[in-house]
Amino acid sequence: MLLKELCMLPGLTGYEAPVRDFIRSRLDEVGIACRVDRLGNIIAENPGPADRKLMLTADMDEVSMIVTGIESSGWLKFGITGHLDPSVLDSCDVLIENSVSGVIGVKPIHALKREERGKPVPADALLIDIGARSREEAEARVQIGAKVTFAPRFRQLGCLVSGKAVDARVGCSVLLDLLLKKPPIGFTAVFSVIGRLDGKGLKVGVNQVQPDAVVQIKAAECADLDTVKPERQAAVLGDGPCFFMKDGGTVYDIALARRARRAAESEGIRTQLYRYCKTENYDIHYAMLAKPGADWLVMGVPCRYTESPVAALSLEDYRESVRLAEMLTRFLTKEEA
Amino acid sequence: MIFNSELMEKLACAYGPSGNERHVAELIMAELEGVVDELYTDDAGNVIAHRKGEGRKLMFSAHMDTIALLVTFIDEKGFLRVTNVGGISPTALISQRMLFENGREGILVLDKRGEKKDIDCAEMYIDTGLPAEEARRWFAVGDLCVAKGSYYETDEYVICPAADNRTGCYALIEAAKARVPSVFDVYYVFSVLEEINALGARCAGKLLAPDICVAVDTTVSNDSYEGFEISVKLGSGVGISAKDAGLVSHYSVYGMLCAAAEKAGIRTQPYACKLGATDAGGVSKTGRGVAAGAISIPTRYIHTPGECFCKSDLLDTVRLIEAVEQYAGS
Repeated sequence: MLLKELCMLPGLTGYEAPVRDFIRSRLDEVGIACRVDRLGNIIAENPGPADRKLMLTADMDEVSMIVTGIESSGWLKFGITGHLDPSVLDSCDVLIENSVSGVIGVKPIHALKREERGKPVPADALLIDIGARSREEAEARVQIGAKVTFAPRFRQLGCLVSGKAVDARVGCSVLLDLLLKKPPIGFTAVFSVIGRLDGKGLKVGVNQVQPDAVVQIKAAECADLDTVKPERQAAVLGDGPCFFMKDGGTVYDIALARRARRAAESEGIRTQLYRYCKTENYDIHYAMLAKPGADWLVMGVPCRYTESPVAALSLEDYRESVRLAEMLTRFLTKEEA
Repeated sequence: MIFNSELMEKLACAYGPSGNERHVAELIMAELEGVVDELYTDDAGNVIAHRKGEGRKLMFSAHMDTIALLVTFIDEKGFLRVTNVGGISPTALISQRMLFENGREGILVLDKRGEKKDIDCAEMYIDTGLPAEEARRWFAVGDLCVAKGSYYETDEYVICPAADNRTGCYALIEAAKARVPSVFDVYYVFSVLEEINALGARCAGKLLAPDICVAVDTTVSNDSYEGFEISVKLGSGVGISAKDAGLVSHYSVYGMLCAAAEKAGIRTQPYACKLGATDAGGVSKTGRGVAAGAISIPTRYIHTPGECFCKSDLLDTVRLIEAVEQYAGS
């Protein structure tokens, strides 16, 4: 399992090169042919027979921030790519251009106003502190446009692993692990870029591959704490990989997901249906239009604390997800178009 | 032209949420059997009826799907928790009967424990009249349900569920059956997933690559107390959209629709509004671009179990489709 190595690398939206290079090296080592398209997607071929053109795909990019300004006080202003809850950022450790350490904090002035106490911090009140005492001192170390990720860290917590980009890279990791096993059915693997901006890389990947069936592998955000009502938990860690039913842009083929679940059950693989959707995420909607009528299955590994420096998943769910991905290659070749 | 109440009732009461339109598709395929030159469903689930002709490709599009609720959880009391599919109005559906594919029903209820002014799906649940173990036998996470309503008509009006957009389906079916001589190569597309960003029509648009697309859908009106700002009322003719929330109609298509209506003596109501979108907006963006426009049946109480339209407006819509097929814009 290469999840740790993948998570420790910086791979921002549009700047996925370190992750891409790592994946390509691993594929080269086992002789799997791959190419990189104009946007930076890796398109790799798993050799083998297949009655239908199958594509398995996962995004490579993570929560991405970029330095947008340097204040006279030496604090850095920053912007966020994609959807992210700003309240997660307060007090986070960050790493700028993979070398300069910083902390995200709130400028004290805002914290003092009575009406603002207890309210979530607005994104523009958050700043990065690199310990510079002036703009000049900051400029000597960081430029506007510098790329920022959470500080890399990966730990085992009981049955979980937790760290930066665990949710962002789990899809890549599952897909890479599957490819390294050299499964028997032939399919195209697309490690896609710019996932956080409504799947732009994926759409371009689908344009080129023109598959009959697609499986996208990602994280499934779960809120399975005791304090959350069961109907709002969306998924339960430990109950196996999830099939999504919809996103903000479309309803998926639930009947197909149910058939896939039954096939998984017959092989002793546990799965669940994902019971929530973020209405602002349009995810695969655009990619679906690139090949009308293709079968789509979107599977997610249950993850807690997504889009935070401590995203966590269960290793058992991870292993089930790799098994499920392999099973789906066999399942989808048999499904009628 | 006589209003076909039997067809309208069958269409209005058919179960067909976004994501599971096949029952409506089967109904429409049966209606058009032997009527058109080619009749099939594409990979996305759209029903495509083709009346072969020599001229440019003209695609009419009416969606089969309705907004719906999706079951996300079955709790310890056997109540079903739901999320929305498409733009549902929670307040319009509270206390309505919900119909499932297996024929079972439930009542959508407001969970008063979370009572607040703006209701969202998390504050609602469906009571199916079954205890928990029974509920788990007959329902499952992933089931879709639609609001149940019954068909009612007076001499001039109809009150029924799903006028959005089974009236559009009616119009395409009746126009297809009329088989007027046409200057176009005509495709009648009965689309899926319109309520979800016109996904079905966009797929059909990509496959068929039409020269022109005219969506046939419903539009809100200003003659009730709903408070919509639009220059359309029931009983005054077919709406012709200059602009809606999803599309500025292509000038040549808008012109063609108006000219065809004038030539055939059909009453129309041109309008431009900020509300509502149709398949046309989605199709216009496919491939190399498609010249698109929309005609609309004025309808009150859209997205509720009791939508109301005027029969003469729907018949005028059928006539306008036929006029366009015959005359284009000349």
